[in-house]
Amino acid sequence: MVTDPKDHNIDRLFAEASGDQPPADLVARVLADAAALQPASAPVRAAVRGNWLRDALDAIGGWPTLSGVTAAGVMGVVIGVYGFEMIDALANGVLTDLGGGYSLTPDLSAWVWEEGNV
Amino acid sequence: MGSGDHKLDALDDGALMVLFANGDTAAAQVLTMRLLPRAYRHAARVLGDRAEAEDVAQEAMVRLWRAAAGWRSDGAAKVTTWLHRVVANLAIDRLRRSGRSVGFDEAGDPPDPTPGAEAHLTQNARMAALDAALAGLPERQRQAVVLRHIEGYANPEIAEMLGIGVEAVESLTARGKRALHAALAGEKEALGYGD
Repeated sequence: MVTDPKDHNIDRLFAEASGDQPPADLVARVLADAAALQPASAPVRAAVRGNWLRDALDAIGGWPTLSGVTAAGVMGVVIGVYGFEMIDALANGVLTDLGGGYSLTPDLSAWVWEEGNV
Repeated sequence: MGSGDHKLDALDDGALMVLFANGDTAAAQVLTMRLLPRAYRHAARVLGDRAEAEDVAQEAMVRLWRAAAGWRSDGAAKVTTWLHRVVANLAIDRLRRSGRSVGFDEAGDPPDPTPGAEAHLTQNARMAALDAALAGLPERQRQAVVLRHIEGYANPEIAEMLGIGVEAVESLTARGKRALHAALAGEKEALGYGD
């Protein structure tokens, strides 16, 4: 297609106009509007929802405490199901040693013996 | 912008609208850099007044941010089409309120765009000459010429932006360009395009 030479100047004028840019202060105002109108981000909302859990954990000493409580609870269930002796045997007597022999409950035999002698 | 923003540069405007609605601040920056210049140029050329063009462009972008929450990235609407439609309507409202609107049957001789006897105009003066010539066109013709010849949109897109048929756009742009040529005829030296 042959371009009409009369259109040459007006096409250059159009090309120059197409490079016209908004002033910096307008860009700043538009970005400020965007910040004011933008909904809160999803990650921030997630963090807010998670705060109650973090607060509850902090109150009891954080995650290490929770892991200790969990371990004790699990051990209690296992002993209840399988019996102390079986677990102690599987653990090579560790539980007995930790308790200083079979003394996880107080040994009242000495009291009975003493009362019998009185 | 950071490397994350380079990834955003590859996304289309609709996807960026959804990201903006989900709180992605970088999406707002990319959309602003991509769309604000188009909205501003459209308003500036149609209104012929930079301060008013800034107001219209800012208002159009505010409406864009508000529309983001309900935007569907898989929808048929293009963000640029939506934005230019808003700019066109805001600009027409201002022209009509100020009494500067030129209807289809009211277009007379365009004002003389030559500012004095200077042989060489600055870029701003050339834009002022263009704006003066555009101001003599009926408003729809002016909008169509700006969107076609300055923003480079295809006729079907312009038809959607202005709410008219494709054939009407073809007619408006052809007549508009002829009228601009007549208005700027003889200004070759004055416009600084001496070659």
